[in-house]
Amino acid sequence: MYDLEEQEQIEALKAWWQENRKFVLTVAVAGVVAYGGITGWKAWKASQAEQAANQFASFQKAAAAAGGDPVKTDGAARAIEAAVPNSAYAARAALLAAQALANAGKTAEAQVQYQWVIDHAAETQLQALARVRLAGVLADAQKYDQALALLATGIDADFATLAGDRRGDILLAQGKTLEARAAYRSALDAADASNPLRTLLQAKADALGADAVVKTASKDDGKAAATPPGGGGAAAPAAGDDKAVAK
Amino acid sequence: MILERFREMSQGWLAKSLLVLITIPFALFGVDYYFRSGGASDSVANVDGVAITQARFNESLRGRLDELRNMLGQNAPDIAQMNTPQLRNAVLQHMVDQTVLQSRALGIGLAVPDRLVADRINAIDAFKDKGVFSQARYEQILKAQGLAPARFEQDVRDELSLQAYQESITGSAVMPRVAVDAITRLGNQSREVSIANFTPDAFLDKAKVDDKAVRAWYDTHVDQYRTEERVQVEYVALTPEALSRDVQVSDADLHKAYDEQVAQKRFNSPEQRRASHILITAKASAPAAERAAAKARAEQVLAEVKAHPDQFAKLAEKYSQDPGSAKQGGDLGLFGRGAMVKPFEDAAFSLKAGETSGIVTSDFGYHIIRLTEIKAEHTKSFEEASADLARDVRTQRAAKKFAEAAETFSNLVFEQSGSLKPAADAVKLDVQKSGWITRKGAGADAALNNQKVITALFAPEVVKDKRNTAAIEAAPNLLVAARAVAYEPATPRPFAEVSAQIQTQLQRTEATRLATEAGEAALAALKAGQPAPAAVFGEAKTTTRATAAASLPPAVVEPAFKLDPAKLPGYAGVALSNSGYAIARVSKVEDGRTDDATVRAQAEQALKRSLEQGEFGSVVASLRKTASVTVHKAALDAAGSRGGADPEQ
Repeated sequence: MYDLEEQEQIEALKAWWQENRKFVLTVAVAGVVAYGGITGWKAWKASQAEQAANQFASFQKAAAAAGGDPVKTDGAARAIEAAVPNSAYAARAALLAAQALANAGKTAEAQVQYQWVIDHAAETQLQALARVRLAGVLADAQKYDQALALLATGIDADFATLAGDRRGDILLAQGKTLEARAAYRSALDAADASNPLRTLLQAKADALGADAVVKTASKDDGKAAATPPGGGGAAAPAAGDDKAVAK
Repeated sequence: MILERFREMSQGWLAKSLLVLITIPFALFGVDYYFRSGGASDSVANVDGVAITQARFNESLRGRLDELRNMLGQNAPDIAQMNTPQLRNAVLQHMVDQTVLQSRALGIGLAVPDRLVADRINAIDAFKDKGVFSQARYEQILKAQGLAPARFEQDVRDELSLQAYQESITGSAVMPRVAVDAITRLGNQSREVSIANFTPDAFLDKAKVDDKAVRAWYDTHVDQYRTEERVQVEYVALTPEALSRDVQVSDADLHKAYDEQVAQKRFNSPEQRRASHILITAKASAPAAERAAAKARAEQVLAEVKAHPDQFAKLAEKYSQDPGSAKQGGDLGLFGRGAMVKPFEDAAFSLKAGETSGIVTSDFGYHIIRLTEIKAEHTKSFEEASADLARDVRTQRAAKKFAEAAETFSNLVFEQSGSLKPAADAVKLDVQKSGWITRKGAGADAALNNQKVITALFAPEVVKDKRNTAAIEAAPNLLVAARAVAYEPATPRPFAEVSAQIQTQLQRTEATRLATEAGEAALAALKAGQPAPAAVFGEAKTTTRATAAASLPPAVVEPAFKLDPAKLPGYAGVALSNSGYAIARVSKVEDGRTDDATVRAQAEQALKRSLEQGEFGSVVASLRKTASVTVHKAALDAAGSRGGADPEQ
C-alpha cells in the first residue's frame, strides 16, 4: 500500500519536473548570474574606493613629507581632484591643502581650494564647512564683505550655530559690536544645550551685553523665607551662597 | 522499504539537482545564512537597516556606567541609580551617531585599505608573543572571546573608518585670526565694578514682628520644634582587655613560654658584620678589555692598601667607585647574611675582624674588602625577655578567654533578657551606666558609639519592653549588650521655650524682605538715571570674569558681566539668599588685549577644541537627518533594565 502511494507521488513529481524544469533551471541560473554580478560590482566599487584610499594615503604622506610645504600640498591635492573628482577623498584633500595654504597666509590659493569643495563636493556637509572656513580666511585678509556673503547662503540649520559664531567674529573685527552681538545671540538660539560651541559663544555674547534684564535668585530667597531654622536639634536651613557673599 | 526507496532516489538525477539547488546558497552565503537571527525583536534600534543589538547596547551601557563610576570614584551612587532613562538614551544616541557615521563613511567610499586593518591588528599588544604578532595567539584569543576573525576584522575596519571620517573633519580645521581676536578681546574683557549692599542687619530695627505672628508660626510649624528622642542605658562591654585583668601569669608559665620561644629562635639575633670596601666598577656584561683594565686598576689599589694598611679609609675615599660608601671611607655599616651579593658575602663572612681581602669579583666589579666588626649571634636572656613575654602571654590568654566567654555572654544576654546581671556575672564584668544617648551619638560612652548599637538601643523591644539588646559585635573584639533604664520620646518643645528663637528668625526674614525691597527701589531709580542715596557703593574693583570671584560676591559676577557695555554706568541687582540684596555698578569696560602671545596661545587652544568638536558635531547632526532611525522602545527598556540590574549580563 505504501509502495503504491509513494509510487504515485514520485510519478507526480516527475511529471511536474518534466513540465517545469526549464523554468526552474532558468531561474536558478539567473539567480547565480545576478548574484555574481552584484558581487562583482561591489568588488569593483570596493577596489575603486581602495585605490582612492591609497591615493589619499600617499597624498597625506606627501603632504607630511613636504614638511607642510603648502605649495606642494596644493599641487598634490589638485592632482587628486583631477584624477578622482567624484570621490570623497578629493574634497578631503582640498580641505587639507586649503588648511596648509591658509596657515601660510596664501589666501587666494586657499580660496581656490575651498571654492572647489563648495562647487564640487558631493557631501553638502563639507560644502558648508568650506564656506565657514573660507569666510574666516577671507576675513583675516580684511575681505569682510566677501566673507559675510559666503555665510549668507548655502548654510542649513545644522550649521547655523557655526556660521553665526563666525559671522559674529567677523562683525566684531569690523567694529560692528551690536551686529556681532546679534549674530552671537542667533548662533546661541540655534544651538542645543550640549553644543560644544556654547561656552565660548555665551562668553562672547555676554561680554557684549547679552541681556540687559538681570534675573534675581528669587527662588532660593523664597525658600529661605518660608523656613526659619527649626528648634531642638533640627538643622538650620542651608546657608546657600550668602556665606560667600559675606566674605 | 522506504529507506531502500530513498537510497535509490538519492542516486537519481532528481535528487542530484535538488542537492545542487540547496547547495547554492551555502556556497554563496555560507551556513550563516540559514542561522542568522533576522528578527528585529532583539535589536534596540535600527539605523538604515543596520540593527543595534541588545547585546551591543548593553556592552556600551556597561562601559559608560563603568566610566561614570571611575570618574565619580567614592561619590558614585548605586549603579541602578546611575542607570537612568536619560543615560540610556544618551548611550543609544551615541551609538546611533556612530552607526550613521559608519554607514556614511562606507557610502561615500571612504574605504579602509586591508593593509591598515592588518597594521592595526598587528599593533594590538594582546596578540603579541615576544613582541611580535602571533597568528596562533590571535586565533586563540578570539576563540576564547567567541569571536570569528572575520567579525573582529570587520569591527576593526568599522572603527578605523569612523576614525578616518572624524579625522578628515577635525584634521583640516583652521583657526582664523578674527576668531582668536574675538576670544582674547571678549573672553578677557575687564570691567570696573562696585557693589552696594542692602543687608538685613541694617533693616532689623524696622522689621516688626508681633506676638501673634510668632504664635501663628509656632502653631503651623510645631513639627520643627521637637526635642530629640533619647535613651539612657546600662551596658556591658566585653573585650579581651577587660578580661585580661583576671588573667594570672605565674613564673613557671613565663619560663615555659621562654623556652618555647627560644626553641623557635624568637629571641635570637643572628650574626652581623660590618665591612668597608673599595669598588672598581666593571659590569659583568662589559667587554673583556674593559674588565681587564678595571681588574688591573684594582690590583694597583690593592697593592697600595697592602703598603698602607692603616690608610684604608683614605684610599677608599680616593679610589672607590661606589658612590654610596666612598665618602664614608668605604664603610657599608652592619649587615647580616643575605644582604649582599654572594661573592661579597662569602668574602666578608670568611674574614677575621681587621683583615683585608684580596680582589673579590662580583656583578658590580672588583672589591677590596676590609672587615671592621663582628657582632656575634645573641640570644636574649630570660630577664631581658620576661616583660615582653608576660604581656604576650597575658594577651593570648585574654583572647582565648574572650573567645570562650563570647558565646556564654551572648546566650545569657538573650536567654535572660530581663537583666544584664547574669551575663555580667558569668564573665565577671561590671554593668556600666551610660549618659543620655540620642540617635546622633552616645557621647562619652565610646563602646556604644556605633551606628549598629545605637539603632538597636532605639528598637521598640528595648525602649518600650525594656528588654536586653542582643550581644552586638560593635567592632572586632568588642561585644556590647545593653538595656534601657530611661527613655524620653521626641516631644514638642513648649512655645515659651522657642518663641524668642522664632521671633528672631521671623524678624530676620522680614528684614531681608525690606532690604530686598529697598534694593530693588534703588536699582529702579539708578536705571532711570535718578539719584539713589540708599545705595552706597564700595570701592571700585577692576577684574576679568575669570578672576572676578576673588574680588566680587559670586552671585553678582554673572549679572555684572552681562551688562551692556554700550550703556555705562550699568546697574544689575541680585537678591542674595539670606543676606539681602546687592547692586553691582559697572562703570568701565575694557576689551582684552589681542597682542599678548601667551593669551593668544590660550585662546587658540580653547578655540581649537571648541571648533573641532563644534564642526564635527554639526556634521554628525546633519548626517543623522539623512538616516532613517527606528528605536524599539520596549527592547531598549528591557535591555536597559537588564543592563542595570545585572552588570555581569
